[in-house]
Amino acid sequence: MAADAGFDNVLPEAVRPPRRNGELIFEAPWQSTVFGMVVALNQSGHLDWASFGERSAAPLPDRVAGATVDVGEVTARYAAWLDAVEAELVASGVVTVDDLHDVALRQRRHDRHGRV
Amino acid sequence: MRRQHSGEASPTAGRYPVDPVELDLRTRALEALLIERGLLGADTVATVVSVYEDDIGPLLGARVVARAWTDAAFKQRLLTDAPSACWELGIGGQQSQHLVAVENTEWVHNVIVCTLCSCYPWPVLGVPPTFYKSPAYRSRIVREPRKVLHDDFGLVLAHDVEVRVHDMSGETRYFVLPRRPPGTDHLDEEQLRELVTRDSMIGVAVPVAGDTRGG
Repeated sequence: MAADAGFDNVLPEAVRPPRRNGELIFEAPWQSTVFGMVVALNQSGHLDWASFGERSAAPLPDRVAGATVDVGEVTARYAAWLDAVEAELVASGVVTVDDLHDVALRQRRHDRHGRV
Repeated sequence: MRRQHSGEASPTAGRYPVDPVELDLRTRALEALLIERGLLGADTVATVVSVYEDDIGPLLGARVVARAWTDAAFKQRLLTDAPSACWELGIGGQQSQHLVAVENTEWVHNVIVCTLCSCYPWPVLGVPPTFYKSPAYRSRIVREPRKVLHDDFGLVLAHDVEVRVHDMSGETRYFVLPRRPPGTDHLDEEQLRELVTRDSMIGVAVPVAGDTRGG
């Protein structure tokens, strides 16, 4: 059984998983998936909380400048997590930017085919 | 889609607008990629989420309780300053500044509630159970605790045992330190942890020897 990853104590407050009365809040399935992936990668040694925390807390000028959709705090938090985990995986050489681009493209095609 | 070839910023910065549909797509794509590369199993994400939503909290509280049962000095520290004592075990931290442990004894049985909403000692108990959040529990446990414990939870307490209901006031977050059940002298701390249930730390149940949380 997994032990507590302890992220609440390591991550800067601004990027901790949103909670309400202690319960994790997920407003969409992708958010729980992001959460699960990040925690799993930490537990398997592929992601370091300190580095991830820095990345997810750092404002991304491109994204901030281009962000035109008001997504709310929870979505914004997990969007930052997603950006950060992608960046961590690229930085550590686990995946490449091209890999991310290619699988997103593949997923998009898959989704389109599903729509008849 | 533009590709980021240079710069200090995240390599994915600027590739997508912050649009929830895109975030959903990227997430599923990334999970699929990591499964393909063997970094995640097909069920890993679901398991992790489930553990965090259901299990992690009570597991932490169980460690605190088992330590208190086996280490008298730790127990005193827990009763005097719960946040610091929990932190000795790496539990809590900034979110647990207002934890207070209340000890069940031969003469006193404690139970916790938040009558105003459903505040909960989540750093050591995790996610509040549905009953705890229900208006029925919140109002009835303060008015007729012995009856609620008996009727709703099958917990029968001797007449000479005082039942104390602790209402979360302000920021204080109470949790119950249940009594170590009889017949457990031979168990070590790790085995004792298995006996501590979330409900016993709320006060609607008591730990029983031979009853593990997994059951």
